[in-house]
Amino acid sequence: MSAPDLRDRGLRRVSRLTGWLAAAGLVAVGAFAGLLARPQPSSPKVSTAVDPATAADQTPTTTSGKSSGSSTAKSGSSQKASPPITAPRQPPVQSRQRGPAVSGGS
Amino acid sequence: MTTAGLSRWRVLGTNALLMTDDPQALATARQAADAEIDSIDMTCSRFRVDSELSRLNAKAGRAVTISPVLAEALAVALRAAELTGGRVDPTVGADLRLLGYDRDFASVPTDGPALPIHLEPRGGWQSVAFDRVHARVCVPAGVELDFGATAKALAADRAADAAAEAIGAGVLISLGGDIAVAGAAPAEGWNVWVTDNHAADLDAPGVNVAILSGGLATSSTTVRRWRRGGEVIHHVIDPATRRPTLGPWRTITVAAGSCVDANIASTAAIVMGHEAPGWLRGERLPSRLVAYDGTVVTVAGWPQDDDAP
Repeated sequence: MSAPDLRDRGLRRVSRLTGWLAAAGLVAVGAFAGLLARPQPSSPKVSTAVDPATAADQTPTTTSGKSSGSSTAKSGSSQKASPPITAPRQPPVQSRQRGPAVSGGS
Repeated sequence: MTTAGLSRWRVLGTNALLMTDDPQALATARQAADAEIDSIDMTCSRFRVDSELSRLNAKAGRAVTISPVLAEALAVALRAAELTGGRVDPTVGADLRLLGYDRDFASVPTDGPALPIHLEPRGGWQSVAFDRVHARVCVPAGVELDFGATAKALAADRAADAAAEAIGAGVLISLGGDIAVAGAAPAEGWNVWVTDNHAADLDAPGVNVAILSGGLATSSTTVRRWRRGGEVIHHVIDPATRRPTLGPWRTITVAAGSCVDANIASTAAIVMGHEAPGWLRGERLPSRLVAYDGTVVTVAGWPQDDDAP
């Protein structure tokens, strides 16, 4: 095998090796990013009661009126996540009979 | 006291009443109701040092795993805050304590010297980090939860459901005037006397109504009142000012699909003040509002008082 052939063969090997290294690097970066995205064992998964379904992994906040991340509580009427207050099936009706049950402040 | 179809007792620092249309099943119904009420008491009382809520408040600033019952009570309290724009806020516990309401109300001195009022900001309901799925909660440091606006009603709903299921008949439960009914109601409905104070004399002003389902709750600033430094204080706190409410209504009664929902609405309406009739109407909640001068306003299908013009 001539010297140019040997050189070309060596260059092809180097090229393949570089490709493999680049691919392995991408895989490693992806795996590391995935690892970082997972919750830490010491950090509780928290969300607000308003919308537990959208809970993100985060550290509980102690700042008044605020919570961190995507689980910020929603107080506006247009963003309520809880079931609304339910009306009665029938409204109360006037009664002539006084029952023993009393509804009043306590 | 227990008579045919009716049982009265004291629990949660107030008067309880159970009625059923099957008198033979009264003892069974009472047993089922007691279990639910005791569970809420052991879990949610701010005045029991051994309650789970007291332990949670003592661990403010740390994430804690809580029991299913406390998780439900907390979810109910935070839902109340959300649905009322924060007018019913469970984070007023420290404010009530600083105002002198720091023990079962029967033991709170009715008068006393002026209290130093601490106005440092505290986190509101939105500062409570709660993962309902895993029952994990972190109450911020300096915040104390109080379920006074919702836990009694939750106990009434749970007790009524449990009792009705246990006996297979209709049941009415009243806990300090927070009323829940479950199961088949009598044909004419459950008769309820609506007045300022659930423990009032029989000649106190009020109205008779009958309900068939759901719950009925009354919030009033005329009860649980005390004085500090000559100032009259009551237990309905406006979370915006962290002081007793100053609105025009002394008593508001609401009918809703459950006792919890009725209580959320009646408490929020007291805090709302002048906006309350419109809000209750919009929510389609039959309600009766009594102003300090005795004027009665009814909305959303609540029957007018007999002597109303």
